[in-house]
Amino acid sequence: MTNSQVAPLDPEIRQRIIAFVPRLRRFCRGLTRSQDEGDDLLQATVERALSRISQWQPGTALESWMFRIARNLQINAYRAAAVRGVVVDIEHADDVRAGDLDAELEQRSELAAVERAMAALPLEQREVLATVVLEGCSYAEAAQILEIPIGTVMSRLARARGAIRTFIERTEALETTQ
Amino acid sequence: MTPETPKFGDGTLSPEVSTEMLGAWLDGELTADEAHMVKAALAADMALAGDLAALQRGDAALRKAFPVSEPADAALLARLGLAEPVAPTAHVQSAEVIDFAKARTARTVPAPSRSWTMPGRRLAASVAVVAALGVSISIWNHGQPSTVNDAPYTALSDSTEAPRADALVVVRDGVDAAGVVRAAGGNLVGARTSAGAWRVAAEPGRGAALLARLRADDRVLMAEPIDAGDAK
Repeated sequence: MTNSQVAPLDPEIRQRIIAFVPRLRRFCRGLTRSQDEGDDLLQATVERALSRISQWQPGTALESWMFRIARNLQINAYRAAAVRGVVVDIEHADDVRAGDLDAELEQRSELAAVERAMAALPLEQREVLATVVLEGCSYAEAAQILEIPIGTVMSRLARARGAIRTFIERTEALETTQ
Repeated sequence: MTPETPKFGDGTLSPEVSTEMLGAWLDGELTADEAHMVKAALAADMALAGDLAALQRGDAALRKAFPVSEPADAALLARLGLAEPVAPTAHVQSAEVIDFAKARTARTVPAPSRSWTMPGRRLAASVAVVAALGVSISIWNHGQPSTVNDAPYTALSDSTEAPRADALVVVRDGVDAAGVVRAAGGNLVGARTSAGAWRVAAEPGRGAALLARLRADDRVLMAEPIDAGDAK
């Protein structure tokens, strides 16, 4: 833990963050590809928020602020990976490679298919699903958290939902042919 | 509305209703007029109604696959730096009956020389638990303290040639040690030692992370590295 240098936290704010952790944890899980990665992001997000809590303006949504921190940390992680030469999908890889898809569909379960579909999507699509479909944000809120125009929220959302649908339908097709 | 060439699903819907619009209708994001148009199109177009059903099904599956997490438990709160400050000796006090005075006089094991990152007082308490567990059990077994041993933690193990382990873990009574350790990313190695501890192996290079998680878990009374492993 590296929190020892952080000034004592207002108990009210701490309780608010604690109450928010289950949702933030799901959001982080949605932005990453596994529970472990999601929890690492969750931890980094809370640490960052605690160390910068003075920058949060009371009266504004603490939750949106923390979503934005999580999302920016994840983007930074992707950029850092890109600098190291690791292939990333932040702007590319809009489609799922067919071979991968077939391999994933071996799972033959709708939930597994959805989970894997999510993992196969580029971050920019995962994050709109996480904010709008999972978190239930309005398009305006999502646009604010993700710092993109509302039109972009809509178009990415449509592509992402299309991908999820394809995964589910191909899972079914595989089940009926085998 | 951005024109798009959908790669997934069928994409092309009713002439006047795009995939984006259908989604926006589902999300309650359309104006009253637009919503009215989508509703009319849904009533007239079976394919569009099918697309809506697929969309709803996908959303539902996604929400089911990614549920809101359980409320954060003590281990997670500790990891996130959100735990209430606790008395550093709380873990020790709740352990089984341990006679520290007797343990101290009987103790012949040297203090370990390795440096740990854990806070001093809790470390000291944990070491005392190790010594006390080992010594009190050996008194009970043999009527006298165990002999001096250079590797106090491995000495707690029953076997002299057990497979590699990274840490020694003691959990509260009635707690499923295997479950706790697995959840923290490790595995039990062999049977429970005579002192009531479990030997635990981590993935290569993950020993420190495993220890941190175990130490943050309320059900774990003690988690200490042992020399055979790489939990440094």
